[in-house]
Amino acid sequence: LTPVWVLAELETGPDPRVAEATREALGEAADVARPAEPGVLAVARRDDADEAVAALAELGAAHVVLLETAVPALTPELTAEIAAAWLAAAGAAPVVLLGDTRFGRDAAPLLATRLDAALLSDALAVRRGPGGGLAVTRPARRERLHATHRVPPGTAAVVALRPGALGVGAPAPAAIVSVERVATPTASADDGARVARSGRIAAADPRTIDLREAERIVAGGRGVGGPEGVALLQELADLLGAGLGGSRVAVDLGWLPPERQIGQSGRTVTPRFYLACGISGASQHLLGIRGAGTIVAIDTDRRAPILEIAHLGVLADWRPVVTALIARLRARAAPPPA
Amino acid sequence: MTGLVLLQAGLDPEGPVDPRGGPPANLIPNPTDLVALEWALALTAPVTVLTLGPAGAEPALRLALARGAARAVRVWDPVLGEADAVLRAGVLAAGARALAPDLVLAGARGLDGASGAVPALLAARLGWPWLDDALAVTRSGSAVAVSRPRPGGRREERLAEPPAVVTVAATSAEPPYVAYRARRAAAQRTIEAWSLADLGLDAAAVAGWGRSQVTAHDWPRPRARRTAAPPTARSAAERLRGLVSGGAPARPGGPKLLEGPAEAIADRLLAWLAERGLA
Repeated sequence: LTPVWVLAELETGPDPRVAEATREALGEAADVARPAEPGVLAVARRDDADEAVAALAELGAAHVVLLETAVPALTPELTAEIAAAWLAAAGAAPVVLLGDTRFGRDAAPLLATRLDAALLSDALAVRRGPGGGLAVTRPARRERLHATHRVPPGTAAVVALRPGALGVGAPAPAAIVSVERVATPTASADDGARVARSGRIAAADPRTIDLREAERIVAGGRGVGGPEGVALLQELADLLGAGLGGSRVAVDLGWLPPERQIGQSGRTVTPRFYLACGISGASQHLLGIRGAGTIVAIDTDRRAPILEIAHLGVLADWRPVVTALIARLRARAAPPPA
Repeated sequence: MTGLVLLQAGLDPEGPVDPRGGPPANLIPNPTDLVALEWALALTAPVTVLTLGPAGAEPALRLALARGAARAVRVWDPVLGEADAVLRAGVLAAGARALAPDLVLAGARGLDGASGAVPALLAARLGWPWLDDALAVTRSGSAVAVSRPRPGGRREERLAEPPAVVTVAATSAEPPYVAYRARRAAAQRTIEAWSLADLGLDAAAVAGWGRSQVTAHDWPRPRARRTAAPPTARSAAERLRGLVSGGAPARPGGPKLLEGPAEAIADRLLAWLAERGLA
């Protein structure tokens, strides 16, 4: 029987966890591998290995293999090389599922090349084909058709699943979680492989950031009263490192440029933090902020729809509250008096 | 520095679609590959354009010639008609070896809108570095540098020594209007038609490179997403509410509301945000 593996995307750092796309892939892999269990394959730096084991154990997979490496920085490309070397040594052409995230896009082509495997990116579903092998559904003609790609039995396959397409089911009770830790030989820095290297990472300027990419947004609506109100919000946004946006009213009245409009006829935004000032929350606006993490709304109208969806509502005039916030944030930013 | 642009010519995704196939339609160039051509013209000279396609792909190549490409090469063999990404990447890799460019450029997305795997497979096969999803491409000393998007609007600089493969984002440049005079001139130019043998490849062997095959096209039937069933310990009404709200816990008694003097609100708001690591 073909071994089915999920290549885990690990987010290390202060909050180590397994990416959502990996959970989705695991759900799909369980169906493909039936009656056997899919395995989870992960690569981590030796220093991060303990945290990685803890994060992987929560997946509820019966069999987890963690490949430990001593490289100083782990890239998706390196993850693919290490995983491919291990899978190739394990024999039997495997089926590897992973998410078509940035990690997956970097890792999957290398993995497929090293394993001499089929590569199916942007996949929407995977099933066992009749007579073995795989049947993978992918979009064609820009989503207007679905194409079925068949991988014959005995051929290795790397399937990158579109994130969010499959969803995450209820976690299966973790019957046996066996985590196998394997140390991999250290690849020397100059082993002849020609790879891309990373340069510096430039932070975005909150004043010019595309709101669709912003992690924090301060937004104003009709309630901010005019350009001077918008200037006050800009001050708060600068202190919070947030982008400034607004409702359709604020844009129609010329207080904000059109690319700062949030809602159905403007940008759909997904910040971690969204602060709405003087926005009542017409459904068209709420549609644009549905994906926001934490929503705080300041409004004087107790019945404003935005207060119903906000995680924290403030029933007050926005101006004194924002002025007080600016004063406190500025005091915090200034060095303490000697 | 010499450049090679991989130009995909395929069925117009905006044209009529039919799961059973339908009559042969015009082949149009992938717009994202034309963006890659702009970057190639800005950074490299001479620029060669390479396409895997039948004679119907020639108008796409003529457009690239009209835009300023120095040379257009079309590789075709019936084997390529049903080729998957792995096979196409293999043939393109042979083409890249034959043309020996310093920089291979292509669009980050294919004509179908799917993430383009072919340039990445080509890079992996040749052992060349791959720079993905470039918003801008520049020269940095002997290296080529790209800026690629990161979460939160950050931009990461990635560098590689040529020869390298770069895929560019669709929004990274705007292909300009091509004047009629240039199109007329391009109509007189020669498009080199190569067979697999011209690349030193054997058609029968190439046919064996394929690893998957498209067997059917259907109208899209989205599959139901898996959802986490709410715990059975809760009441039926609570479980229903949990399902329709996408699993988000219902906030009993509506949202939290802060009221009172502005100064007090500001203090409590900042404390609330600090608890969540937001301020």
